[in-house]
Amino acid sequence: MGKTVAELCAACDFDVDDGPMMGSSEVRFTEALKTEIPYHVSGEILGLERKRSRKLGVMDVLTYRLRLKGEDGKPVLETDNVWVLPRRDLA
Amino acid sequence: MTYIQGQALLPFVIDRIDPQSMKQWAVFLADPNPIHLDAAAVRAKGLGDRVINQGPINVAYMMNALLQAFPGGRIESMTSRFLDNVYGGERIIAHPTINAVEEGRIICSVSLESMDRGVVCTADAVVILKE
Repeated sequence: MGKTVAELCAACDFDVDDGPMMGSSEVRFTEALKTEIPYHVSGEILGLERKRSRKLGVMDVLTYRLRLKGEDGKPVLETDNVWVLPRRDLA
Repeated sequence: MTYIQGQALLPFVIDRIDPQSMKQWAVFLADPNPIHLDAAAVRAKGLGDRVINQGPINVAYMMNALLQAFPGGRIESMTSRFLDNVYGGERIIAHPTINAVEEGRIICSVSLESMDRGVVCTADAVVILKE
């Protein structure tokens, strides 16, 4: 995806200092990861949905997917992650 | 080794969640989120009074529990849910359990528990056994 945590938050108009939290994470490995091997990472945002939680108030729920491929282009893993972005300013 | 449905596997124990480790993970995760680094930031957000472990560390504990239970095995897939925070200084235990046994594969669940507060994360995973 080419973004740090702070840059991914910024892409969602969210300041990383406001405390993003992980909601869930799903990973599927096609092969075992190895050290000393270069991998190519790509990914995309799958969804950004505003919700209201009893505990956190207004929040945005970010879903994104990352893929790792080896140098030969073969997929190694795919992961879908859900982050909770609390919007305390909108509570 | 014989595995059976419903079998509880050896727990993986973290005696004390180390805030210094969170600082190291913050560097290589490229994650400057202050809730992992500064207890004052956690208090200001009403999330507690101790620094909060990064979610990927909690996943790693559950993965370690599975790899401890199945030496030489590898995780094929894993879905983790973050139900509550893991705080600096806590004692945490990952409890893996076998849900089903298939040819060369084990389907497991893992419960990550705070000794003081109960379940904080859960996971479902498929492990490919060593051939």
